[in-house]
Amino acid sequence: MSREKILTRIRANLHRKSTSLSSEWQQRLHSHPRGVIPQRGSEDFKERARLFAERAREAGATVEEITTLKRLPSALLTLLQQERETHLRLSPDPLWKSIAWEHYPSLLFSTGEGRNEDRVSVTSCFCAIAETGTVMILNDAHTPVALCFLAEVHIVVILIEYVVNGYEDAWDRLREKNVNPSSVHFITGPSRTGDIEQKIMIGAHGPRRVHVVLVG
Amino acid sequence: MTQAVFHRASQRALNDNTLQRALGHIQAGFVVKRALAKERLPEFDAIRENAVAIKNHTLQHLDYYLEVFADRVEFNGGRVHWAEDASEACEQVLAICHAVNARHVVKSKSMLTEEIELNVALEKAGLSVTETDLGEYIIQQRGEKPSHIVAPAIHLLKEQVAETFYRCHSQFPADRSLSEAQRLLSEARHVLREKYFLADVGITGANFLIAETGAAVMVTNEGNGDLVRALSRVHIVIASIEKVLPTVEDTMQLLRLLPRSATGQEITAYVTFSMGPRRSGDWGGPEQFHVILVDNGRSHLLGSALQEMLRCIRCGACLNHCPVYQAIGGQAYGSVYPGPMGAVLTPALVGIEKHHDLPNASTFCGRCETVCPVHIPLPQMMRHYRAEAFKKRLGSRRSLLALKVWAFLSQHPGIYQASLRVMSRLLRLWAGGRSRVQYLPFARGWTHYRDFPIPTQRTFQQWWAEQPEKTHHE
Repeated sequence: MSREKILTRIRANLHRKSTSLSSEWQQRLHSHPRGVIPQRGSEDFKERARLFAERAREAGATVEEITTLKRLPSALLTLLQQERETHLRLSPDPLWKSIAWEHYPSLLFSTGEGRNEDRVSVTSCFCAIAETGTVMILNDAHTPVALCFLAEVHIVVILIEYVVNGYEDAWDRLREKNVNPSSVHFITGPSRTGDIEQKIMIGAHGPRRVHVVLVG
Repeated sequence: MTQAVFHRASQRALNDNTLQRALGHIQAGFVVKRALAKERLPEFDAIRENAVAIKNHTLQHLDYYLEVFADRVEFNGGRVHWAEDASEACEQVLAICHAVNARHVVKSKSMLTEEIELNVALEKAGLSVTETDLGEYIIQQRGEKPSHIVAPAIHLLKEQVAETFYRCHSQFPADRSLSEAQRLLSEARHVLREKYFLADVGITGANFLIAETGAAVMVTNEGNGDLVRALSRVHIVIASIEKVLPTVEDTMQLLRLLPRSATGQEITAYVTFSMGPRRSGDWGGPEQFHVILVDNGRSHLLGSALQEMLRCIRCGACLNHCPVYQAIGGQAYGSVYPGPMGAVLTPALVGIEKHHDLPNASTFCGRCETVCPVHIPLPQMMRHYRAEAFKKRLGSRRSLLALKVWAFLSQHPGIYQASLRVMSRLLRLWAGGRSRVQYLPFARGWTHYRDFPIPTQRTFQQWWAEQPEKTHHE
């Protein structure tokens, strides 16, 4: 078995006979010490959201603030007009349940998984990270992640209380919820490439625009 | 590669005007952007120290963390395969592909798959393989090898890319304009979109593996890695054993260094944590998730003088800052990994015999070590291999003889000084009163590019001996 051969060679070269079990590094997995955390967040949640928005913009995203989720449909209508598009693809997310879509008959949308023909997609996110203007998205029943990568324009909706300071805070939140998704995705601004003469171009394989709607 | 081959390849690179123009972008691109990104993060050096400690700790207990990682992947519903070497790794990928009757494979950029020549093995077995990273796709169409571990097509100008697309994308009108880079990008995007949906198996590399969660972490800017992951029925991650890290927190430390050191970004547009196959209730994601853990020479470095090389996170900063890499580009090295990290890793993995020239492709200026986010003492390691090569009598007879003569002279100061005096007298005679000469016999390689300065009356040793006693001790 290659597994045994590799592990045996590692142990031999490290001058050990078996995996030496020490509480010190087993402990590391349970205590997961944080290391050096950049001081670039804030204790105040409004300020944290502002920092997130600022850094998301620096990374090339567009950011819009609305006071309540009820205003989402009209924000989406404006965006569709801006992009000269007519149709939205919405994630199957319980978050949208409180919205009175029927009051916006001109807003055309369908719900479900991401498809190649989708031009504009809308998803929520697990949380947003102020450190670098990043959103964290889990692939689960409410957010099929293909929605985030196939459309030309990806709209991410975030409740302001879900903005955290650093990456570690985001992972702690995931531990608290005790969920184990099949994949987790950090998204910071639109898709890009520098592969031709090192000039940055937007919209490589994924969205050319990431629009963040901060709610609250 | 023999000495002559490397020598010829670097000569060709220096005389290739197109390549020189392409390489000219490195300074304003990667080098300046990295410096700015480092400046913007006051904690950069502290994180770096911590990252070194994390990597050292992990390597010291590599067996333990690999087992924890493997158990966790299986717990998440994935499968782990262990491969001793390149051929076993390729066989394992092929076995998975055959088991699901795969015909089309899409890949996101992975240097390890270049190292084990996976594409060759897959194509031999009749599978179609498509690289989806734009740079990697371009060089795949051209039948070339990557010239940079982060930016594989860095040696090309957009006109060359256009030429390639005219040739390979015959489905589009031949008179279309591809003079703008943006057009090239849209065309590639269009062509590759179809491939994702066609593919049965998606293969990605991993920048990190996390023991705690069983995650394979992938850092990309284009979103191709996420599409490969999200749309393939079967996701195969192929990663070398030293990529494992204990916890998510440890990984975040390294993640703060990698993009900043590589492209000067605070973070890449996408970071993907793949933690098994789709769960029940999920709409998408792969039905099967496999991780292939590849050794291919890594475990031999543990406990050796080269163990620290296993800290490398493949950011490419040492390439970008190397005066030799900047002058000749990556392809002249003739190895999968170019630049200073390649000059150490290549002989470490495949032996010094075929690559004894690579440790010489350095001016020992030390910038590689200065910019390395995990402080790998690259010059010291290259020196190790130079000594090794000399011991094994590798290299041209002329260079070995020169080294022997030099060693003899530096161990015999009397003869050294005497011969210096003779040499400087001869040079003055040859110069006939000039302070520089444009031509020297036996040293045309030098005088072809610059004048040779003629020494003044005394040698340094003579001048030093004449100084008053006290200055000797200051």
